[in-house]
Amino acid sequence: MSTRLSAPLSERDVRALELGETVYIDGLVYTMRDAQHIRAQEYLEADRPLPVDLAGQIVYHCAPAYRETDDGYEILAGGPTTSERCNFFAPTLIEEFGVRALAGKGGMDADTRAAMAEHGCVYLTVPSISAMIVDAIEDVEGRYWPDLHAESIWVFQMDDFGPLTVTMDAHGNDRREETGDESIGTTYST
Amino acid sequence: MPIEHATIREAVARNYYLTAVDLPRDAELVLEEAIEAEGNDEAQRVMESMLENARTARSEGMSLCQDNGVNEHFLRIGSEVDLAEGVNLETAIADGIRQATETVPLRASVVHPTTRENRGDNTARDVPILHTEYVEGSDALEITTIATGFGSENQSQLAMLPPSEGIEGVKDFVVDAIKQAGGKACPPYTVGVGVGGTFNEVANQAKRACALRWCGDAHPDPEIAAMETELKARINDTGIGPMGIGGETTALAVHVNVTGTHIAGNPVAVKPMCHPRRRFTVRIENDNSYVFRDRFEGADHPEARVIEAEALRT
Repeated sequence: MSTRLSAPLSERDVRALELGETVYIDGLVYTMRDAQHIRAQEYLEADRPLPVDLAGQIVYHCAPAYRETDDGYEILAGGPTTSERCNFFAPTLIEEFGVRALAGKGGMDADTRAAMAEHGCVYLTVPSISAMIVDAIEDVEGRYWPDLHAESIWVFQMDDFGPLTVTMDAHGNDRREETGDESIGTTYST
Repeated sequence: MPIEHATIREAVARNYYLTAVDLPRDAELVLEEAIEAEGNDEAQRVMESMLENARTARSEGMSLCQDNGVNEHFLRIGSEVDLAEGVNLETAIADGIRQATETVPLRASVVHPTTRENRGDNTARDVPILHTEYVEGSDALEITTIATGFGSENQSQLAMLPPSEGIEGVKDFVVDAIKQAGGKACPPYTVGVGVGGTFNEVANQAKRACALRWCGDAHPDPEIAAMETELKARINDTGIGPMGIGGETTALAVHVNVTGTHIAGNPVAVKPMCHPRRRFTVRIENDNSYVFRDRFEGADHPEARVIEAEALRT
């Protein structure tokens, strides 16, 4: 079974997704990992608005390899990074900013899982398909916080980004409960 | 003419490029076998996407992963190697890394550990990291470069277990480390295990086990080989699966390297290496010619490839 979704996503879109489902994404994807999460937290504490509106959007844990061209940027590789390093701010992204999907690898912690169930958000596992993702990026729509280099917020217009797997759904279920994967208990505390 | 700075720089730059774009043959073979054997459709689809990604990267000259890691180099320096006057291996290798980072280009992932300053060229204090051994009678300089991505490196574990826990304690520690790694380090893994030695040597052997041995080749000692088989079965029984989505394939291979240790010690180290296990070897001769191989030290493997320098576009 596979589902094609177009971002931004509604609460209804993500509540309908089942654990283990394969998903392909069209539309916008926002990259954020270590540095962007730290800065977003600083902005929130200073009561400053983020440069992007994340309501209904997909946050992808990724720092691409890229090159500057005459008329913009060329993305060279864009696979997932380990998501657990974003646990410290992920519940806030869901609660305060309305993010509807997180994408990365390895899953998130219990606090994030609770926020996902409460507000309606899913976690999508991205395979290590760094080169194929480049083909799925139709356009670089924007780049914010360029001083963070690869860890800028990149806004990608995607066409057929996948295969992604729903490994944490919007109802509190986690694929790791069905396997011997014990990583949810070992993620970094903050 | 003895081996010159420019030869080493160029050879290392091209070798680092190969680690970025070219899936080693052994990693490709074990992944093909795993796809064939996997009974879970979703897991199979994910592994097929990994293989397709690697083949796209190889044919298009694209990075198969965005993280080219911390570059580590295992050097085998022949006793008959003749370096040109003034050649500094460390500098020549660092220049090769800088060249590849700029021209390919590759993501700059290396920082100073306390200031977090990024020079933008994948070098930093004492990076490139070099491990050196001498080979008696050889007239070649072999440099094996590993692109140590930190998704997998962060999931490595080491313990100084008491001897009372014996080899069973060692095996349990390995399986637990993989359960805790889960899908965080791009499984299916080549699991490198070091047993014995000292604090630093056990980690070194775990890294050598996963990165330098031909993937899936059993240890020559039948007792160690049996332990590798047992550990692989236990790890695959966890059901973690490719990228942690569930499935029968969590380990492509388990490689155990053992070193003599102390009467009071029972060290163990575990390094889950991500499925592409990116590393390439360049062999430089005294006449400044060089070739690339996806096979480290020892006899040629029938499936190993040799890539001539002329065949490479950089």
